[in-house]
Amino acid sequence: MVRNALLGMIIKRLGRLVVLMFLVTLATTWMLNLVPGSPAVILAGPSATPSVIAAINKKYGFNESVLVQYWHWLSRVFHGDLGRSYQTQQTVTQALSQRVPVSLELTIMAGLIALIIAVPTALYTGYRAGSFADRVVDGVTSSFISIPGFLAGILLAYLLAVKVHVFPAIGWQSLSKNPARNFRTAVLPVVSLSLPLIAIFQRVLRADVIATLQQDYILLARSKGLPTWKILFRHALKPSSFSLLTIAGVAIGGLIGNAVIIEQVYSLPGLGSLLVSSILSKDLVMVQAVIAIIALVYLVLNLLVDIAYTALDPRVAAQ
Amino acid sequence: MDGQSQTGGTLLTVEDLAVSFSTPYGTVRAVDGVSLQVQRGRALGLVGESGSGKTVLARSIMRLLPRRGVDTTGRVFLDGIDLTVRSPKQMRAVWGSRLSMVFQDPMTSLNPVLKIGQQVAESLRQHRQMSRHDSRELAIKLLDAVGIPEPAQILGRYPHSLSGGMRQRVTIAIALSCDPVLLMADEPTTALDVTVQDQILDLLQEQQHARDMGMVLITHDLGVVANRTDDIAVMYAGQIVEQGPTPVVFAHTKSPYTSALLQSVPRIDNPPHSRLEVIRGRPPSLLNPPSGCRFAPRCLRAQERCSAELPPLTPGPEPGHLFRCWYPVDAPSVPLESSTTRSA
Repeated sequence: MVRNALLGMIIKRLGRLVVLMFLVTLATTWMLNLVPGSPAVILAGPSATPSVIAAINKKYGFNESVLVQYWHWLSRVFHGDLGRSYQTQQTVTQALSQRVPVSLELTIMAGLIALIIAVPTALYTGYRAGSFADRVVDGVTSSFISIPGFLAGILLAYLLAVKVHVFPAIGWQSLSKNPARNFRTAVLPVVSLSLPLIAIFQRVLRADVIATLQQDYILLARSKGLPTWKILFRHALKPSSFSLLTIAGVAIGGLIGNAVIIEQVYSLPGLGSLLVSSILSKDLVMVQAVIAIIALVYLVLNLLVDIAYTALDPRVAAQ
Repeated sequence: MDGQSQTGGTLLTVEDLAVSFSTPYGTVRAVDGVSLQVQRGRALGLVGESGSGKTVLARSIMRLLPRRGVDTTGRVFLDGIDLTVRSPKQMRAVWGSRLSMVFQDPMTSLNPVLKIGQQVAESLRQHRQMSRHDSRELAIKLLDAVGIPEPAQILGRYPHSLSGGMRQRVTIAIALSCDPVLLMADEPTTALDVTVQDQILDLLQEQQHARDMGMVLITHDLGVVANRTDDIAVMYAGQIVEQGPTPVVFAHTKSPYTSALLQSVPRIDNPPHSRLEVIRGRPPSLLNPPSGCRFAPRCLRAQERCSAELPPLTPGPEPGHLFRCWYPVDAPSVPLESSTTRSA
């Protein structure tokens, strides 16, 4: 019964996800048309004649209405053709196949590391709220949140790559080509990305843990004679995880496209830098695809979060 | 320890226990010099109004109060072992195995996100090092013993799918799982439907007798303890005002407070539409308790001396009977019988 309800929920959410993907891509096409400046002018260069520009406009359909442009794009996508970059003439599929794995790897690793560090820290500081350790952690996480990502990135790169040659600052290798090298080059960017996440996760979970520890069922668990770690991990963590889960879905999803600065600092070929350079060069077909990928990751992640809610709380599943 | 094996003898001794809380408004003395005993296999009824310190007393006996901002003095002996000097780790070995607790509200005292089976088997696995399979088998037996139908099926359910009465049966099964020598039941029926209250109290009494277990039954309802306890301690404003064997306290009530409590229990043989006696006023603030007798401001018998001097606990003519009053009630008040109805 519960399983069927869960399945129904997933199917419903998947349907909603498809609708949202259409809306996001349509909105992207529309927004790109609103951006001032003509992509044809940029493509043709500053000295192009009006006839060249007109020819480019005709070739790429820049003068068509938004809906027609969207329709053209969509029908090509359904034939497996995401288009070809106006700038580099590289196919979009090819560009994405290089960039997406890098961004996914960074995102997943940063998210996991943040959770692995934040969850036990939050449980402990929530349990010992107001203690010296709690205040130290509070100070550290405040600084993690307030230091801008690029500063942490540059600082780490300077200390651990330039001063002490522990990790390389540049020279990214893909995971499939050279896993050891990949891991070493991933450490600094992943750490830089995870610092603010650790801080946010720790703070959100700590607050909920403090509230949960006031509950009668925690007192009952204590009166059973359970050791503290069992009370924290088994009895307090699950009911305290709702805000954390929501925030984690949004924050980890945000990394996929928003890691631009860290990608720049460590010269990583990720989606964020591709998006920024495509926007600047009005490479519309590339922007369209990158935004679609980012939206897809976001939606899938939040679908997973919703599924996790039902795993966390049987009452959600029963509704 | 001596007395470990014999059935009689003292199980729990509380000596001059006092608990105060530091609050922004000052120090609150929630429990003020309480001494009591529970005999092995006997039931003590701890009676008092809301805010009289019953729950704090019970939790401080168990050492379940938070450490910060709480100052506890006095001694608590369980089976001759001083609990007040035990480390938290040593207390964990006592909790759930020799000393366990049933809480007031079963709607909040079970973890909503863990299956019943896990919550029942947990103590068994913790204290008895039982295997998953053995603890499951015993959990089924325990649930069956506390009157839960189809216990094997209930193990896989979450608390939200059970009624309040069923949940309280589950918490009782949890409390009984490792055969404790002493069960603290803190208003175990207050949050339940009236129709279920009797069943739960009967269950507790039955288990207490069957296991020869000591029990402290905390309630605000004298009707609840009348037929179910061997001894009674009546608390008011953090102090014990009267204590003794249940029949003696009922038949030879000395404290005006106990007497007033008895009068305010609705009785079946009252004529219809007769007014229920109430105790006027409210319990005093424990921040600045009145000097002298704490009940004096509300007491109909109060004289000048009552508000000046705190009466000590004085022995009555019957053995084991103590009361705290300068001008005790002498007429036998309400006879002890089953006509006291049990209300919420």
